[in-house]
Amino acid sequence: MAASDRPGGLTALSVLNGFFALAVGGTTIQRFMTSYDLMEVAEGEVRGRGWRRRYLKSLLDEGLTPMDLQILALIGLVATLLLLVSIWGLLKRSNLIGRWLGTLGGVALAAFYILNIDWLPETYLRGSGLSIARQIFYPLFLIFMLHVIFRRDFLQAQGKSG
Amino acid sequence: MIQFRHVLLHAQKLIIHSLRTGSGVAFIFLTILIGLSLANLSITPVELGFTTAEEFRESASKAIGFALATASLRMGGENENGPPDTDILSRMESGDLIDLGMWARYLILDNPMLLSITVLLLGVVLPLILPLGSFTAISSDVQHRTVRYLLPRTSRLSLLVGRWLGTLFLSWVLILLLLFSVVVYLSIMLPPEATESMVPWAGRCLFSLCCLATPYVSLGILCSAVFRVPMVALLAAVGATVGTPLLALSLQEAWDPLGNLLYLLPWGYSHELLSPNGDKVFTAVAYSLGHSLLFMTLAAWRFRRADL
Repeated sequence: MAASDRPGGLTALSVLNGFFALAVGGTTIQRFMTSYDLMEVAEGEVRGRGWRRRYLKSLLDEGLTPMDLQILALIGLVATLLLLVSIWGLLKRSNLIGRWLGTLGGVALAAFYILNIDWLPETYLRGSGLSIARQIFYPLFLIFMLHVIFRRDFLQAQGKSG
Repeated sequence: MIQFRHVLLHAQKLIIHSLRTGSGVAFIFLTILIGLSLANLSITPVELGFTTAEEFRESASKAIGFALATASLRMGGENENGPPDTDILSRMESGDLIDLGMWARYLILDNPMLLSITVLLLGVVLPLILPLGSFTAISSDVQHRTVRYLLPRTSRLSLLVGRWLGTLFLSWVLILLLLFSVVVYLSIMLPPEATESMVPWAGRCLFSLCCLATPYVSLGILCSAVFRVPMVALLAAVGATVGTPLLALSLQEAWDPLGNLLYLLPWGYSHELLSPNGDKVFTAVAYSLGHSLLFMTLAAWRFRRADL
């Protein structure tokens, strides 16, 4: 038995939260950058390589707007921050920071991926469909673990500290 | 003496405990992650347009025939001087491997191709992941000596069988979730006429993977009962799973009958769970159950004699 009575699963979840925060953080940066590229193409500024410009133009033609990407990036940023903060809460078994911020992070993460599928055109998502399905699995798993498996641990820790 | 109520209680406690431990969370997460990655691997070339469905079907059919010839120890050619690939292909078209060619066509042409490929890949990778779910089932309690607190209230056999049942149930649920995700995704991606036969074939694949999982879970439990240190149990289970086919296929080069070492684990017959021939499927299921029974008997024998 470890010196701390924190279940090993909570430690594993905090590591996975960190992993997904980095993954969604990277995608968020990509969405922001693409949105600025789209704005430049929409304004007629000719920059970058030809294929990239043609690709961005095809995205605009399919109805994708820079605003869509910025909203997605904003949701991604919120998910990243919530997941990162919840790591500390999970390790401390804090009901508010660990369980509830983790839940909000999971909801933001799920919303980020679902809106990606819903808003982004097929040419943008092509080939990543199942990897998105793979990423939707994690928020559902996180929420299930926090509210079913570890619920009592958070409440007990809260009772001790309160 | 086995008490059924105790067995169910141990199974239930093991599932809850697995979900609370780091290794259990890693097992669940890795199984789903790796399973969906394999599905992605088989779907992406078609989805990205790297190849047409027809070209992919053609090359997949050859690759599956090749894999089936390896798994059934029939790679040794009639004409050993010819180029190996063309030799195998011509033998699958009109030679002694024609049954394997038909088998590959059954998986690729008669049934949803992408699902078949995904399940075949899972059949290779799942045996390596499944020990992650079972390596702590017995050894963890033995290592920490907490098993002593359980034994006055229950029998060793009930404990062993209960934990085996819990691990097996968890593995089956994960396989079900995995196949469900792949089928839902394929149903969305493919046109409706291509998905008509998806559900019955997915049911058959689920049955095959569950049968395949049973002996490997039992092997994990055997290693967990034999070794006191969980990491050693994990290494032993994964080492045996990886080592058996490597050893068998290398030794087969030296002397053909040594290839039969493959049958020490289900590697030698697990592909037959997806055979078009009902008798072969029945035999493969019987072998799977036999292997599981053998591993569990050895585990029970070892656990009953262990100094805890």
